[in-house]
Amino acid sequence: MIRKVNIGEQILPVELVGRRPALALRIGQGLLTVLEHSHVAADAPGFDGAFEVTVDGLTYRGWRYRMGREVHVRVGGRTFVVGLREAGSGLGAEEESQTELRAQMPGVVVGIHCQAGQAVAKGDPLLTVESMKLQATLVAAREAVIEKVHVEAESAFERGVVLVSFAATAGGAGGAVSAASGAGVAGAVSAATGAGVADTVSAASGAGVAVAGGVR
Amino acid sequence: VKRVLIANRGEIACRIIRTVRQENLGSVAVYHHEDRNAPHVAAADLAVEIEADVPTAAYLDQHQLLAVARRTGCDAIHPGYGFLSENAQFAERVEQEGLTFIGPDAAVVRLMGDKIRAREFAARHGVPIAPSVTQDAGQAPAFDEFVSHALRVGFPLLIKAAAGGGGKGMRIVRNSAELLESARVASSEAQRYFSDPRVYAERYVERPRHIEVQVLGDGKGNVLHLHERECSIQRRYQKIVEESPAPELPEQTREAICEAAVRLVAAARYRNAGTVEFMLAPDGQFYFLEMNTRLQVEHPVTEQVLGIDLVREQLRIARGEGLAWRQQDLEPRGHAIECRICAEEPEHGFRPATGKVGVLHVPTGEDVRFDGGIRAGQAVSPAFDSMLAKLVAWGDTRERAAATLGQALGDLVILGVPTNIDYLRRVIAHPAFLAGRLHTAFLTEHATDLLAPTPSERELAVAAVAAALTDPEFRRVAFEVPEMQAAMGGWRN
Repeated sequence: MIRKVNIGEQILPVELVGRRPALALRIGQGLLTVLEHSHVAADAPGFDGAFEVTVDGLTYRGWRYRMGREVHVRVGGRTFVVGLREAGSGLGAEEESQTELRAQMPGVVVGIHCQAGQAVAKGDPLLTVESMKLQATLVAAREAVIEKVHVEAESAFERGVVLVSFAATAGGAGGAVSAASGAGVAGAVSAATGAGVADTVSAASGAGVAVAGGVR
Repeated sequence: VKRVLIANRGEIACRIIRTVRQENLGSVAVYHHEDRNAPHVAAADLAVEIEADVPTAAYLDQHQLLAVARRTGCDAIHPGYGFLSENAQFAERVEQEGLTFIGPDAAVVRLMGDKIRAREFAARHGVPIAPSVTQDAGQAPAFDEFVSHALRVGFPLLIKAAAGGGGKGMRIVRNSAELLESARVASSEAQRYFSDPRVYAERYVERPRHIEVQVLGDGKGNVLHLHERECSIQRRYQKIVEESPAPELPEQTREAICEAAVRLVAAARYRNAGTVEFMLAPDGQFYFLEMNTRLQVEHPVTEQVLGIDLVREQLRIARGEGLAWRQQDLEPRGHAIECRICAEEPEHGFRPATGKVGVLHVPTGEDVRFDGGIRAGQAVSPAFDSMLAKLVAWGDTRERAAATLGQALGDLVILGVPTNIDYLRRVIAHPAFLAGRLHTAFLTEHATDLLAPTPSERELAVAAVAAALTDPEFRRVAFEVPEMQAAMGGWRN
């Protein structure tokens, strides 16, 4: 049995190669002897998240919490977010071409600058949003046609929801850009993230990027 | 004062309730439906739901809060920080209802809330302010005048909102080409956030330190300072690490800053605990920034080095009992550092995160203080501020306080929502932090050093194993005993 997990970009297949007297697990090149000392499932009474495992003779005490396919593991004073992948899947299974602009953080729509059916060019503003006291304009990362704007002005949205979806463009059947390339069709992030994929940010948020570290 | 309504939520509501109960006073909490399982609801003697479509609006609804106070027989209201704590109209209405507002006089709230008037007041009382230009009306002609005055002050300039706070509406302008447009944008943002378009511009000091002074005033002109706090470690103009005393501060500067704060606060005949904020330029010159007329988020570091409960002092002052200390009795002992624990992702520009506090484990220790407003199982929604808790450590030296805090951050467990815990641990272990070389651009300047280190193969393997072992399917294959063997019971070795 192989259970693939990922930590960040790194995919780690955890292969169960032996059960007794201890678990024998192969991770990458290494073969590990693993003993687990206790386990309480997250939905069982008495769950406090604590775990203790001995890996090749060294015992690690930590904490873990599973939410769906994501496990937060805290060990050695550091938290790892570990993804549990579908059995046998690699990263490839999740590489879909992206035809949507999704919210990178929760916020409120301040302004809408596009409408369904409209053709937009790279850099055209799509929405102005506000998250955590900062305004940012989300812009098109490439040429596209707006299929639908999924939010209304002054409405709040949660992280991960679709804000704008795009129809296939003349230049690209099936449209758009792969998620692996970073930002997808709509390439802006808020000024707050400063992640470098934003093509432009609004004047309002621009200062926030350029001048970290003022005074208050 | 017999029973206090706490018009707030989260960690500060819990913190206030703790002292209110210690003082043998009744405590009444309020909560929006979304907060119904929050710790502050359970901590108070009584909790009353307040309603609003948007959760934060409930805590800003003066009418409902006053109605709850009346209905539950409260004779005082503590506003905490944020929300209505610096709302002069609320302070006024509370007093009109015949209740005690645990805060200053409404007129002082109004004075200090208007940053332009506050600066003028400071300057009039000999407190240094940075070279600046102010604007009184938002009309276009006034902008031209504003710009011509601003050009005389010189660049770089920092444009701020008169009614501002928390970094909102702030702009740095480095040349005249940007000036008019930046002033317009700042003004329109100020209008949006604060319903007040007035802005002002002051000379921007590069790499300043943020030093603030905790004060107590009795409203009759008697004032104590409770020494300074250093709050230079900021992201997005918001503090995330604070300490007291300020490290590497020349004694002469320390005294001058505290003295300036006392002068300002005495002149305002301030009543309540408050904080006077200064920026300290690299050349040793300091300038008044603003005064916060409320309890500050970072008040615990002052409490830890002075052994004083600031909420108790607020209650005492509100009861008209005056100041319980003499200035010479207030000598800080050792050093305290606080970290703000926020639901956010430092590796993605500190974007706020949501989720659920699935696992919560709080470190204990004589020198460790955890001021929290969360419990296991609680949802972290985008409706409220991202700060979940504060972790504070005391040490007889700064070095030991930092070491204890580092240990405590390592022991603090909040799983289910991304937090800045590990990032904060790297900040306070950074050599420049430990050397006390602090300024408000610290986090930007050391951004590369503060990235999460690449985990070792062993760390990754342990995390991967721990995670894989939560998977029911993996567990079944790994541990379940085949039926035939199960039937044989304990025979197997």
